[in-house]
Amino acid sequence: MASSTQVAPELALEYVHSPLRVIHKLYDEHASETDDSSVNNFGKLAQEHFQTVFANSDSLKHIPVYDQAKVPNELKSGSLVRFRCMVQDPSYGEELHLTVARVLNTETGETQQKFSQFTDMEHTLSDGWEVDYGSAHNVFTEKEVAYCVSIPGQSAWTQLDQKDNLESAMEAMSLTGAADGSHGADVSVKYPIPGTAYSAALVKFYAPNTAPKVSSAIDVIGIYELGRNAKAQDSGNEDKLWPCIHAIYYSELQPQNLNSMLPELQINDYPSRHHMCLSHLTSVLGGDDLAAQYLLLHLLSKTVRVQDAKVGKLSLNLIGIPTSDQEQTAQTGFNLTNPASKWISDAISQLVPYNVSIPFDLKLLNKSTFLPSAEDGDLQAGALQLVQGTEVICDETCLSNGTLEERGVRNLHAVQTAIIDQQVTYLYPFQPIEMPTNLRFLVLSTGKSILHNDCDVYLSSSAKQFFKSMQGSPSAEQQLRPLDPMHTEQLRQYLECSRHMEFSIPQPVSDLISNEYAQARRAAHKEGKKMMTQEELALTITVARLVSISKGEVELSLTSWNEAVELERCRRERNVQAKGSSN
Amino acid sequence: MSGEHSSSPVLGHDSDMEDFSGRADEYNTLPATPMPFSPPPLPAGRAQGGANRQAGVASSSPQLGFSDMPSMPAGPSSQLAMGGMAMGYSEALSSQLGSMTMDSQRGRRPRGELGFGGQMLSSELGAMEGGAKPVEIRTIWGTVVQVRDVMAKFKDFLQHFAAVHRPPAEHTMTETELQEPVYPRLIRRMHETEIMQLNVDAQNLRAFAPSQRLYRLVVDYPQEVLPIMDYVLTEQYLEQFPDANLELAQAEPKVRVYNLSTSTNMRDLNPSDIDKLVSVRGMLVRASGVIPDMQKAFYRCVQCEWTTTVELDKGVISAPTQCGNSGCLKKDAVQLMPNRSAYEDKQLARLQETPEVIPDGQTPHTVTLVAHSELVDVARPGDRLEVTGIYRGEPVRINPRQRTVQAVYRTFIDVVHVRRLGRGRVQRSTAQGLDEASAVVDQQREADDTHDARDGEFSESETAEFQRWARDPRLMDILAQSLAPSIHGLDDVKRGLLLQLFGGVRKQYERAGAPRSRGDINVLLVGDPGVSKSQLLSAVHALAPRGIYTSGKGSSAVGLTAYITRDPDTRQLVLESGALVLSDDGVCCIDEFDKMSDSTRSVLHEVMEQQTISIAKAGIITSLNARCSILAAANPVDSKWNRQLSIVENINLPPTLVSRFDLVFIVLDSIDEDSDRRLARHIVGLYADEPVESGDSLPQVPIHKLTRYISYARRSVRPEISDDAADALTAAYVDLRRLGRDAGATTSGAVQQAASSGRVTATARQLESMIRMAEAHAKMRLSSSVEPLDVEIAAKLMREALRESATDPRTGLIDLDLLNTGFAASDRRQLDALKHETRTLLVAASQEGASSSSYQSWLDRLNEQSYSPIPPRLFDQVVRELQTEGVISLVGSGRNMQIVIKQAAI
Repeated sequence: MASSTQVAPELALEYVHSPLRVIHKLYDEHASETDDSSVNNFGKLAQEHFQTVFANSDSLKHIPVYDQAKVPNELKSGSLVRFRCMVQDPSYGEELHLTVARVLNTETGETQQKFSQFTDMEHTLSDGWEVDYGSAHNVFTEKEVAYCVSIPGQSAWTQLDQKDNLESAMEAMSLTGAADGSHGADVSVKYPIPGTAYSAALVKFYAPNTAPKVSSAIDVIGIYELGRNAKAQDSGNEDKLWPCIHAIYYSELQPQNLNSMLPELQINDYPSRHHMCLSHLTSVLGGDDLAAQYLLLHLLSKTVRVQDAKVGKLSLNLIGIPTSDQEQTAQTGFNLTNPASKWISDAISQLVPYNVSIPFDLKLLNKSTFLPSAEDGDLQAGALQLVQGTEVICDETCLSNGTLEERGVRNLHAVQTAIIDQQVTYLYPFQPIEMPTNLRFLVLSTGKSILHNDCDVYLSSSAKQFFKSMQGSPSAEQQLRPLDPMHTEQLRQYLECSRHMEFSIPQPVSDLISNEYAQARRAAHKEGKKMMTQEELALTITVARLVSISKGEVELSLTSWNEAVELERCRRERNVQAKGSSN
Repeated sequence: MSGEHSSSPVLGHDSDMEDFSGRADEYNTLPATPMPFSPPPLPAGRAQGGANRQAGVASSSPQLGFSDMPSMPAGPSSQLAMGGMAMGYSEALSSQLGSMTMDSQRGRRPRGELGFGGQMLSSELGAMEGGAKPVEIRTIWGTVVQVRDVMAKFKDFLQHFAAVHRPPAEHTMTETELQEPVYPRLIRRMHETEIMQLNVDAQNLRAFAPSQRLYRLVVDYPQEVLPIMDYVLTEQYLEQFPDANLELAQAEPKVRVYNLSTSTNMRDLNPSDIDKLVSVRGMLVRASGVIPDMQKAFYRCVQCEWTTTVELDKGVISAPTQCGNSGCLKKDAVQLMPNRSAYEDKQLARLQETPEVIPDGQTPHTVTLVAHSELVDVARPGDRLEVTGIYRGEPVRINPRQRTVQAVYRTFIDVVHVRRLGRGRVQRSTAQGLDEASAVVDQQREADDTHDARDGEFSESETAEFQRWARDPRLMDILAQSLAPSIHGLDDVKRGLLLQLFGGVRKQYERAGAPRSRGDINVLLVGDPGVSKSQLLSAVHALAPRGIYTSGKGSSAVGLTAYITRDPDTRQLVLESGALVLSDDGVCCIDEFDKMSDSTRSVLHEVMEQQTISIAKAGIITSLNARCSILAAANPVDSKWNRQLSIVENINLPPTLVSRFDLVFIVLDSIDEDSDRRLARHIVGLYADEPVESGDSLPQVPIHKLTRYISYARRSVRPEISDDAADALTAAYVDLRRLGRDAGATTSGAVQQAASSGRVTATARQLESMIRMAEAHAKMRLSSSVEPLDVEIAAKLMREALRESATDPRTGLIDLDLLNTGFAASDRRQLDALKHETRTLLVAASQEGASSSSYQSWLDRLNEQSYSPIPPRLFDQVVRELQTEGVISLVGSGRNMQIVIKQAAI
């Protein structure tokens, strides 16, 4: 039945509503021989089976999306769910599972096999039956348990399609807190961005699957159940039930796959999309086309590790965002208060799948934790525990005078390390572990940022004016011209595709760059001017690379190189001017 | 409360023996046919039925360190009861898990054959004691363990194993020492110290031909074999010391097996390891408090004083609901008497993987440890351990309803032996002492382990590969190139860093009061921004087997050193190590060294010479080891290096600190069209998503290999200075000292007499540095002695570094005073002249009646007289010196400083 490519909707529904029955049937069919290997292979069999049934997006739609808010009412234990999540803590305990148990009737001596997988439920035995723990037919398998949370900073448009999207979102807002308390341990420390609604579940992985790496974004299809956690026992809440998802299969979530509606982007579409994107960003930045250029390049950047160097990243500091007129509200958490910053952040969240804002509010810096830290094997999230490719917007405009305490210093340091080295330290007891990450940092500040960034751009005076005018009107959010949905889709696709483009520098261009560099330095030396440094050269090449891929070129052309040099020249000129005028 | 506790029967001669009757069918008797040993195609017997209820009951007496965890439903137990001795290993189900997997691997036996009651072990023991010949060979069912065989072999081992069976590679033992059996001596020690534990190196078991097979058995069936071993040990002990009173000692002699051939990675533990003896390495990250685990409950009837004891059964003590006195029979009148119940110490702990074994980009796994009695509190959080223990599973829900199938089990390790790895043996505990008390052969290994055990073993092929590298004449260039391959050029710096990574030899002289001499090489990089200093630092950090990367700017004194916090759980003050302590025995990389606060810097003074950190805070006064080398990077004061100024003027660091660096490299952004071009090509190459073509054909070593190589060299080589090298060192030092004279004579001729110039080109510090570097280079070659060649390279690097850092920009000569005091000899002369001038001015001023004037005005006035501007630095020094001479005094500070002339002095 699974071999047919077209799956009848009613079949899919059976899989959704009683997946365990399907699994049992499958086991009975295929695993008559009960030895270890057939049990160990069963996970693979089940995975393939389900994958075939849910191969196309139509049948996938039947699977309800896991949402903690819906748990008690709509989501029944034992049904199939889908959960797009971040692996917050991949080693949340390891469990052994008695997959095949031999039961024995003490009176008649009759024996039976009890099979269970993808569930923690206990078989109830009728009178006279006992588990024969001594039997050689019992099979133990292991499963890995990971703590997964909804992806931090997930933009609204990447949420899985749902009928009552808005409604359930509202519900989630109001109910998540309550849901946390009713079952599971206090998990609020396990979500990177406090104060945001999210769902969380223990995801149990069965062979052949293993728990994915920490902070990876995955799409899990599995069976929802309220279950137990072996780990919790040490801490004395053994009786608590945890929302669990028994993963039948999962895939790493690729941002490109988030919007599959559009036809594939063709190479000759790039120039028009590029233009469209640029004009959109220009209007977002109040008509400042140079800043828009850099913002686009920034959005296209990603970190590539070559040998021990990190290249290709372009953390951007936009200078000249006015400070907010509004009085600092008491506790805003991770929400931006400055309308100008919010405006930019909103515009970006339309375009990128994951984005997180960190207002550099003293209180927030001093109180919250940015680095994930582990205590007794339990990894607690920090604001920088984010999935690869997340856009992080640091709003420095809300920074005010005051004391930065030790934690604040550590937090700032953590952000700086993430910007420069693209590394986030996971503070495991006695041995901090550095994890490579891939985050794009956009720092919004009034003057030059306290953080060191790859690239600083002073906003033009018109842009400054534009943002200043926002401060007065409280309803600034509404000013954002809603893009035609089709166009937004196209822009998203353009950004994702360009970002993952292959790239190379042909030999002649490479030679030219080297010569230019050497000559420029010699010339500068002669005139006694400041010489171009390695870092400046590296930055120019980064810009050239991004200019190149923004146009859909896989090889650096001379034109793009010259464009990049010109861009850099304009930027420096403007920065010098801006610095001059501000002094 | 230990009254009950200690009354445990010894040698299976009393009450607990009764239990055997119920377990008669636990041992399968096989016909006395020759038993194939290995591979074991032994049919696994299985008893059925009757024994269920009794299983696991006998776990009464003081345990071997692993007693029943709260237990699971019992099947027929494979427990081996030995008269109450150390029954705790076995716990019904978990032992089943092991045997089940066993069964599935072997052929199965028709069930009809199961349950043949064999004779019970007790009778067998009795028979042996009586000297009767065994008629049958008995195995513990479900296993291939033959009780008699194991006993005989282990006894033989204890009696006859001697160092000669496993001689250490290098030893100075005499023939008699080699022949002397090891364990009787250790049993004697056991008796003397009254620590009833015997560490048995599993490798000794393997090395001793008659007991070779025991190794496999104890690994596969620890729960069965260990109690037998304990039994034999007790027997042996009593034979040696017939008068010993074990009841008085309150502890049964226990065998602690350790040093298995393979150490399992935590993440590779899987169901097939259940109930096997495993050895895992990791770091203890948490230990619970000591939990009293009730072993026997004592009940008394409130009505009639009737008493009874109930033993722990499957983790549960079932209280009698009714008085057992036939005359009373009162219900709900039986009361627990806690003070007459028997308890055992138990501790839960968590072991976490160490970074070396964690796959890239993954988080560490942890495993739960359960330690009992003597093993409680043996290690502390932060210790690196090798734990030998039994891997077990236990259902997540305890004491469930009977009628369900328990599906989910958690796993843990029942600790048998704990060995501390690495250094830092601060406190000695029982087990620690025992470790050292183990066999001669063990000590050898211990010594190796202590040196640096955290990187795991080096395989022979790896060692061979390293040896091959070491013979390559281009070794240093290859390794230097592999260090931060993305950074172009800077070859000398890379060489220096390489030597730093290998490190010199730490020397501690036997002579009392002799100073400890550090072996770590400290390196300072100073230079223009944008010359990839930071990248070099992170490259070294990535390579160093242990180390911390920190920025001088971000880290307060707290971050760099140890600090004291209050533990949230216990409310006790605890010492938390900072970066420096954490990088003990590694490299501490400090970026933006110049931005560091003064208090932090003062800490570094101590660290760099004494290699310790003293803490005096909140009532805790202690000194922690911080034997790390420091790699620091600093930027010049004016962001750009000024060639006209000396290093001290260029960087904002006290000379006393700078002088503590063995190597100071100045990395400048210089103009060289050719190298610029190459550099540009190199950077472009990084971006091109294709391999960088390197101009030279030197092979590159991957980073992880290089790390391994460094660890290997650090661990296994301790070069000593050969006579030739000593001569070479002396010569190099004299050369360096003479450098000032020669250079002075050639460059400035007669004007500058070297002797009178007072320049110092090398001090004892430089000699020490040179020794360290020569040692490091020898280490790099994996050579056990330092040769003149090593000295040559060290001296060359030293000269390079000095030429850059200690050159007086005004004279172009090397002058170490510049580094040591901040004033070169040429400064000195200038200073004296300036002081003289100032003094004249002051005298003149005081005669005019002016008594005080601002600092700045004095400087201006002097400047008017001088044809070249006076460096404020020098004027500062002059003022300071005049102040100490009592000529002037200073009022105020900073810009508003006033200089007051003391009339009396002039």
